[in-house]
Amino acid sequence: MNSKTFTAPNISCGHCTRTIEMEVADLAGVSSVKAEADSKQVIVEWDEPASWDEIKDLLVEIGFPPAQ
Amino acid sequence: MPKQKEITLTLLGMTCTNCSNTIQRRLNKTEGVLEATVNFASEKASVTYLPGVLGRDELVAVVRKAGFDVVEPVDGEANQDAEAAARDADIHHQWKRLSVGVIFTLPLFLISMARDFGFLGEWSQASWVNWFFFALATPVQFYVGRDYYVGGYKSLRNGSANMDVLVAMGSSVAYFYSLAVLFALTAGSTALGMHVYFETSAMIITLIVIGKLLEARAKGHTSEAIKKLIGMQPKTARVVRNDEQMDIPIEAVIVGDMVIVRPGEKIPVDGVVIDGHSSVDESMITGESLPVSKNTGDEAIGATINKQGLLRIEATRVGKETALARIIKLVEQAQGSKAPIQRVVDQVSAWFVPAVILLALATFTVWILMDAGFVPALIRLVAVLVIACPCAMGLATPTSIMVGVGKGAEKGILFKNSAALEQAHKLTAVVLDKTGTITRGEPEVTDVIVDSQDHPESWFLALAASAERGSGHPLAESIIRSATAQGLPLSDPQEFENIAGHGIRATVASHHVVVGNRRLMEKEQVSLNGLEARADELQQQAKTVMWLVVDGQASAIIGVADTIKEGSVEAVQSMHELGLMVVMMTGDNEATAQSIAAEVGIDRVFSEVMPGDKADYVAKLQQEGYKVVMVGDGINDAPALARADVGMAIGTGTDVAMETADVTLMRGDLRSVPQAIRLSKATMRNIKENLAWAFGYNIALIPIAAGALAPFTWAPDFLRQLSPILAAGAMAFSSISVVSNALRLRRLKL
Repeated sequence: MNSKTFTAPNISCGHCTRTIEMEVADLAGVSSVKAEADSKQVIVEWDEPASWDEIKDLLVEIGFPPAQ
Repeated sequence: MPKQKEITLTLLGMTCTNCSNTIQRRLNKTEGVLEATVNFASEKASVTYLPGVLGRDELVAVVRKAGFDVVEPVDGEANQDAEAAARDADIHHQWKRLSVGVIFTLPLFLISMARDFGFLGEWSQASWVNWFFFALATPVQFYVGRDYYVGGYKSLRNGSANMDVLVAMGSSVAYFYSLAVLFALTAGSTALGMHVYFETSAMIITLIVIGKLLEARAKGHTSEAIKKLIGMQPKTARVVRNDEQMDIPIEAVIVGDMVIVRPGEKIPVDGVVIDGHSSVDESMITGESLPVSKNTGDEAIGATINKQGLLRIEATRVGKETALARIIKLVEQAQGSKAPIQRVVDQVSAWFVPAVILLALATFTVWILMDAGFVPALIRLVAVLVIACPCAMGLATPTSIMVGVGKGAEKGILFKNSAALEQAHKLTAVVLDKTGTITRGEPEVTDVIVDSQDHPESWFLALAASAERGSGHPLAESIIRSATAQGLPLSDPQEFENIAGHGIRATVASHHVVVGNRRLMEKEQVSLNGLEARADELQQQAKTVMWLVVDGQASAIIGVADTIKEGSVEAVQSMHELGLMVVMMTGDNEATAQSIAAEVGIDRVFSEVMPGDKADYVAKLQQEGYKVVMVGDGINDAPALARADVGMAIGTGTDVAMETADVTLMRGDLRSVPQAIRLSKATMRNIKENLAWAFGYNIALIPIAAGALAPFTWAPDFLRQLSPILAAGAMAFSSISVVSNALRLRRLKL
């Protein structure tokens, strides 16, 4: 089980967190996603076959790139 | 390549551009979507998609799944668009048929007639001319006439027969008989006769298409009332969101939005004024011609026009809930509902077509038996079939109902269904609720009687009003309203004391002021200064008396009464002119009731009626043989409204009363009652005229078509042997006359 906590500065409202949770959870292997509007923080947990790169690419694609 | 379609969805719930991006991406990912763009500012999504793969519902589902919502278009508007499109398509279709019909029929008719009258040379008797006629008549028969075959077949399959059957049969008989003659002649036989009737079959079809086209166009006019109502709805609203003013589409306004309406603009949705004052033209909703003043706390109705000041309104009802949307829905439902008289017409029509077919066959048989010859007998059969088309009968009732209901809506009289419109012409008694119906329902200062030479009447009124400012009692408010209306300056009381059930005590401009009832005077031990006699007088006139004591002296009495609404007296007069007995129903005591009844001109009074017993009194009148219309404000008379033959709720469209009553009078003024009854009478008369046109016509012309005049040499030839072409022309004319007659109702003066 891998897990990562990061911020996505583009998050501005509850709809954004919902979008992130919905999209990332669709990836095979992702077991949980939690995004918070106030702190702009996202917590993802995943197993194989998902990978951090894949998750990161998806976040970029949907318009919420993680901060470095 | 499959056809692509474009659609615009109005979105709800977007808070930032991330939201619009999400929706756009989701839509673009959906199979069948070619391109989707979402505009955050206008809250619209434009989607180009393949209709074969998915439809609007699927697109809406995608948006909802992404966590947003789509605004459904306002009911009436969508229906109206669909209806208008269907009507346009119908008109277009009829035009196409008519053009084809005319192109082929006109030369056919002219050459054929010219040949029959011998204007053409020997060549016209050649057999190729008949083949040429055949070539002209065939497209008319099967392309232009296709609808009649299809319609007739569908109707027969349902076990009934409609006018399509008659047209198809009539024209087919002429066409196929001519075809048989043509083959026989070509084969060298004259056994079937020498003459072909291709022009007859083609003319029947073309003339009836002309009738259909004119009918489709005229029907468009009957729903103009609805079109007008929908046209009143503003398209955009200026709202304040996040401290920013923006113009948004009307569908995107939500309850609780603060809406800004500038002078001259339409109020977009129903709401409550939270700031500003103005006068508003509400005539389009209530029919009331005078502008209504609006202040903080007043209700504003969508689609009405703000005349003067800037208004800030909090939206309370949007979309389908607004008064206008509900009116549109009600009018549409009423226009589409079936009047009881229509059921009778339907029953007759159901028997009519089979009867005509039998009659046509009987005509044929009789003429054959009388040795009139095969061809004349056949011509008469065709004439009977064609002239008896009952399509005018089918139009007679619905067109008048549509025009009548629409006409009512324009005047602020909303009929819930066409049964109510039909019932209203039979009424013989009107029962009027007193409070809120005949009278305004709120007390008003009627008399100020002063026992002092020191100050004018207005000084005392201003003093009383200032003192009453701290109260909240309806009687206190009536005094304040009266003083404000007279433009008197009011001040705030320095001291104020409420004596429950008696009145108030206050200090105003260093005067000690007491306002209250007689009991308070006794309690305060104030000398009444001889005002008692005047007070008793006022009481006998059913007025409430308030005493004003200034610095220990009973100085004035103020009479307050529920005053009669403007128009009530006039309305009762009109009701009498319509031959109605006018009854007043009230919870007041006999004396009060009689005094108001006398003022308004009421015939019969039911006084001291408990709210729960109102329906029983209506029933009592019905037992006496009256057809009763109950008019009330709907607050506690719902059972009586339901019990009456027709229930009319008086008040604004924002009230629930609309649900219970058969008729809603938006204008809150009794004059609408005689108007509604006059409209009902006019509509019913119009329907009967239409039926007379439609039936009378058939009854008069069927015998002529059957050849009843044939033995009489005095009759002109064209009537003795009625040509099927004339029959078709006459039949188109009957439909047009019915629709035109119904449209006449639009010009009715109420």
